[in-house]
Amino acid sequence: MKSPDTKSVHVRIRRSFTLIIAAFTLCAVLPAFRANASGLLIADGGNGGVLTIKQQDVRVTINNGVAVTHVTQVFQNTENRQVEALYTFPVPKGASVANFSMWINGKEMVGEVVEKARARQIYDSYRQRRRDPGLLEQTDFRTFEMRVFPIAPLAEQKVEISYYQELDFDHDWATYVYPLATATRPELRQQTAGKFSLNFDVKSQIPVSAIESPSHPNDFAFAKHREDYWQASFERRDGDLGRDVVLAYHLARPKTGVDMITSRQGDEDGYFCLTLTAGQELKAKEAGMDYVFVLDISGSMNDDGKLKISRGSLDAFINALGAGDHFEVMTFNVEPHRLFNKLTDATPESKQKAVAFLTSQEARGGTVLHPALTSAYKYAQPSRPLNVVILSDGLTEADERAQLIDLIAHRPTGSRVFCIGVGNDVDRGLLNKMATDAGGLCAFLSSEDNLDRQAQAFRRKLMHPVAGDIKLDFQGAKVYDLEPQQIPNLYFGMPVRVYGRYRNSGPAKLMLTATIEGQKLSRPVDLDFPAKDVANPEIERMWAMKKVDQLLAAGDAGSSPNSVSGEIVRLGEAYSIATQYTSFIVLENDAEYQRWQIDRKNVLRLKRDRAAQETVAHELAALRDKAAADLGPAPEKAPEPAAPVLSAPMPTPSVTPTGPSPAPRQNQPAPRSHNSTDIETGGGSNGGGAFGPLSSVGVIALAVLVVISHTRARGARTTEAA
Amino acid sequence: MNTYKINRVSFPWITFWICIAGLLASTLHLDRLLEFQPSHPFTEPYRIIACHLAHWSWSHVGWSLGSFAALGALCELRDRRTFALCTALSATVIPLLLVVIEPRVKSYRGMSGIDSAFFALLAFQLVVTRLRSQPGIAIAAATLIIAFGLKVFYEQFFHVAVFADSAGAGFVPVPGAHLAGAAVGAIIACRGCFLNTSTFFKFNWSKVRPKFCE
Repeated sequence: MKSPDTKSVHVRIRRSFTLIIAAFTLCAVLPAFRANASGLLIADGGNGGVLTIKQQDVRVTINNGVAVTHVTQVFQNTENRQVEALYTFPVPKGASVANFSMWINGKEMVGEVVEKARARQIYDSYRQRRRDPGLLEQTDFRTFEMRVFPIAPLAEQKVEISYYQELDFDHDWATYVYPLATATRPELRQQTAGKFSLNFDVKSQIPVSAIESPSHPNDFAFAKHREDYWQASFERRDGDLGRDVVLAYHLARPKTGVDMITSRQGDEDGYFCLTLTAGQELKAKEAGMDYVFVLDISGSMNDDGKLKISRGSLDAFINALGAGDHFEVMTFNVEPHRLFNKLTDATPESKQKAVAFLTSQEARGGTVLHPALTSAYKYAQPSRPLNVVILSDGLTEADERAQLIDLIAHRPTGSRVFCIGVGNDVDRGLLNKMATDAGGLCAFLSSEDNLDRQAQAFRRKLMHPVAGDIKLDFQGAKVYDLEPQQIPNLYFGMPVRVYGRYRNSGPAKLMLTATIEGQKLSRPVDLDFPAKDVANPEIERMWAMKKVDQLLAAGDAGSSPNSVSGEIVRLGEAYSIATQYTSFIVLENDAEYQRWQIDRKNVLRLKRDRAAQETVAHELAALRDKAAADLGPAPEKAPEPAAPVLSAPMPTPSVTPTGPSPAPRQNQPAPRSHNSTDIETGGGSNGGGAFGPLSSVGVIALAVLVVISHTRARGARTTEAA
Repeated sequence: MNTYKINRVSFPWITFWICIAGLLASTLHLDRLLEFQPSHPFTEPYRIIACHLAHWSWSHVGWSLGSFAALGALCELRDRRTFALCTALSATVIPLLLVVIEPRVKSYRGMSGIDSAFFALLAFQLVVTRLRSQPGIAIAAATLIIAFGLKVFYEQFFHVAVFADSAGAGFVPVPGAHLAGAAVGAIIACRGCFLNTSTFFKFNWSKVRPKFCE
């Protein structure tokens, strides 16, 4: 056992020059990550040098809307001298880093999450001992940066990052974005010298009816193995990585229902993710509404083509308006500018005028949103619901935040605010909060999205929530710690997900209560909470992330920062989640972790997760094998064991594009899970007796009468006999 | 006087075992297997009888089975044969009548229809048998019958249970089932009267009037 502060440690560190300290820090608001995930290793630190991306493999497993992305990158020092490298890695919106590993001397070193100040203290202690030890840098509140030293001449450096995120759903389309468009260092061109591959496994309890890539329609190959399991693959060599890769898949749940997945390992209480989806029978009815579109034209909208995306999106929105709709278009930077000064009918002429108005706008000046919002509220009419649709990056002045929240709280009756975050650099937290507080929705658009489809989908959701006042009452299983605690409205095409924990395994009942089209509806749902389930480990971290989000929101709302931060640190360390109060730190070897008394929780969790992932991978491989074995037109021929569709090396798309069509090869129905239940929302109801308190009073009264009558009759008989 | 034979017992075993069966059905989560679906009444005929053992929630079990235990015990202790007849008839008639009178119901569960049959059986028996000897009791029982009728009327027109959280338990009350049950109970209770209709008309109503007028 080495003493923590002996010279031998110092000497060893200096001699080997392999100490790498990595500390990742996510600061400020958790959801406000920068939407980029490419990851760059830049020769830096004053020594110069050139590093290239030799290989970049991305494996994405999407399980019921929760995406786990593993990014493995190999960088190469192309110079014949030692260089110091800066690793910079921005995380996509709504995602949380769950692991970071580096290969040191061929061995994978896994990072651990510790309290932020302590991580800094550990890091500083190394820096004091070395001239320039592995250096941690935090460029801004959205981006991770870590220094790696040294990278030997002509040597390779391999890193792996895993992050979790919940996918956005729009009109039953789930969209995954692997953002490459925004560079953390804009001066650097992101170009892979070697192979870039992106492989998706898409699993879903709700059948997946279609899958496509709006960004790279001709570069993806798709394989459908079963209704609930698809694969997609993208591979490129020596290609430009300057465009987001977008994958979208469509879920088809014909009837409104509840689906649940669970995770339970060891003796711990279990986790579950409950998804409530509106079915086709609740499709919104067309009805006229009032819209005020508020477009941000401040200077920040010049970045990343945000204004262009906004214009395109708004054009699509306006063109999607129906005959009974009224609308107004407003732009703002430091003050609002109105187009019509009134709500006007959505006629072809007015739409054309609005589009021309938008085209003439240029981004400049600061961002002051609240006068625009105040102005938008003035269009509210008591007889019609008003939808204020804000397209902005939300990068407003910090002191305006409280004003906006207050303005939302005092909005006119019947008005809702919908926020659309544009581009990759957005204040997701603010936009989310504004929309949520105002009973609306928040969505985020990327430059590679299909704007028309997004506009159509968003408008459908705008029409009205399918179900409100949703309440979940679990009977049995001892369910606790639901996230979110306040269940949001259910919109058409946008499922509501609820995470929680359970203590007892076995069958249980969920009483689902909601208001649909003004009618109160209650439906019992039978659920089964298993004693062991290793298929969905990702929902454990998702639950913890939701909990952290809720605590951060409570902190924003004025809860004691100490009480909030303590719980966030506990959750961050227990579930290995980098938050604004916790950081990742990677030390050279296990002895160093021991020296700093850092528990290897992430190593254990990672081991468990990988074992679970391996099990799932085996199951998926078996599915693929079965699907492949079923291929072939002639049942009378001896079936050749065909290779799985995606197991063969992928052709280079630039040479032989595989085509965009999903072209389902199989159509095997997925076995229906016992935790998937359709809910009757109309056309009939459950019936039963209603013997309640009043009836019981009647029963008691009747019983008393019977007893009295009997007693009297007996008395009469006795008297008679006497 | 009634003409049918009284079969008194010391313990309501039938009621007891039916209650146990009802509790087991809910404990073992067999409700979905047992419920009756009026849209497919004869697909699985056992459901016609078994549906009464199924419930929507533990609250539903409590009220429904509790009432069954109380009323069933009273009925069975008074006369087991009549009790058995009433149980068997109402259990069969109620689901089948629902097919015609409550087509909006997709699935039916619960004992309340049979409870209604017992309620009507007891109340009508009191009216019929005590009208001459204990007119006060008979009139009180008649009042309860009227109150029951009003409750069913309310449920029919407002689709909510009186003082019972049926919405919270995930179902709507089915007044048709209550009416059917009550009709079965009333018919069984009055079958003696039907055999000897003069019983009702022989009653000296003038005996009652002064008591209530005082």
